[in-house]
Amino acid sequence: MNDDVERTLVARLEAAGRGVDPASGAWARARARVFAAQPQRSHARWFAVVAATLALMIVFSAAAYASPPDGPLFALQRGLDRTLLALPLPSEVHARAQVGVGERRIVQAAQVSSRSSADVVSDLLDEGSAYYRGARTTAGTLRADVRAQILRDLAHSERSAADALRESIPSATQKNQQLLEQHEGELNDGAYDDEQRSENEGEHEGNN
Amino acid sequence: VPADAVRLDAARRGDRTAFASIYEELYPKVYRFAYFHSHSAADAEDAAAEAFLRALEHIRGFRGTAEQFPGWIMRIARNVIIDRARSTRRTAQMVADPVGPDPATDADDRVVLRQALGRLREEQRSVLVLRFMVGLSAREVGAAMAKTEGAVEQLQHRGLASLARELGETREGTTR
Repeated sequence: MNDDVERTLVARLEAAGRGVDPASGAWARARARVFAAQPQRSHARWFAVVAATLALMIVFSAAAYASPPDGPLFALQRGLDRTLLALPLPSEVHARAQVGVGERRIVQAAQVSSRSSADVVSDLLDEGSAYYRGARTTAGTLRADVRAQILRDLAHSERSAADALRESIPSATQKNQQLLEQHEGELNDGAYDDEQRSENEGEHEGNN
Repeated sequence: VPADAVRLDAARRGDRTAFASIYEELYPKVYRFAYFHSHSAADAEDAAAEAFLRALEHIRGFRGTAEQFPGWIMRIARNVIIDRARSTRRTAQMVADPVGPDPATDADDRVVLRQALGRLREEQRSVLVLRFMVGLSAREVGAAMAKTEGAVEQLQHRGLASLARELGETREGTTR
């Protein structure tokens, strides 16, 4: 194709384009259609998606925390607990959260000790004890007076958990009874040690 | 600059008046682009309106400059046209359609050109329509088609050659 043909063709295309304009009626109809659309359509949809997701999360979280260890949503409860404790919380809050989760696991072990296998109960007890150890470690990083308070709370929690285990022993399966007795003893020993440490911290703080 | 930066920023923030101002300026170009890809003026009107609806819906997500905005909206228009062609399976029919245009508004040469354009590959047709009938620069066409300026120029060159061939055949078969 030579340049003249190309130039002529381009001129024809340009002329054809210039002759095409929307009729005023079409323009107005299109304008009405475009601007009749809901304002912020995408924003509204985004908001609806976020609201629905949040609502689902709340419902599932509530159901997960109500789930017993042998329930279908217990894995979600575990995941949420781990997520909570992985957040960059202040150490004092973190330690208290560890105490709370530790006690909940041990009480859950007591609750299912009459129907669940020894493996399940043992896992729950070990998990609870691990959270308590974590709380103790976290407390060690805190100021003496705060540490003393955390250790007092920890000891109180351990005694409550030990009570829950003791009360469940009569109804537990034979294998679970041994596990509960063993952990009850360990919890009471831990509580005693934590109380002693707490008192020492208190005295140390008083001497200062 | 077809849509200046201040007006575009306002439209992004949801200012309907600003978007309306952009619409008034660009609607004829979008319509013209749609017209040369459509069966009729009514089809072109629908496609152009749909393109602006999509633009209104997604304008918050547009991250380009005001200079890039015409290319962006033409890209939306092109997607609308391709979607409509797919959904109605009209592409093949459009190529073969001997009548197509609205006789009340189309001059003879426009009829001939429109038919010949309809027989080109979609990319070549889009480049020729955007460059010469809508009047965009090669850079703006590149933005509309997600191609480099060099690729647009190649498509333009091949498109003109193809169109010349098609018109040669058309002339033989018509009484122009």
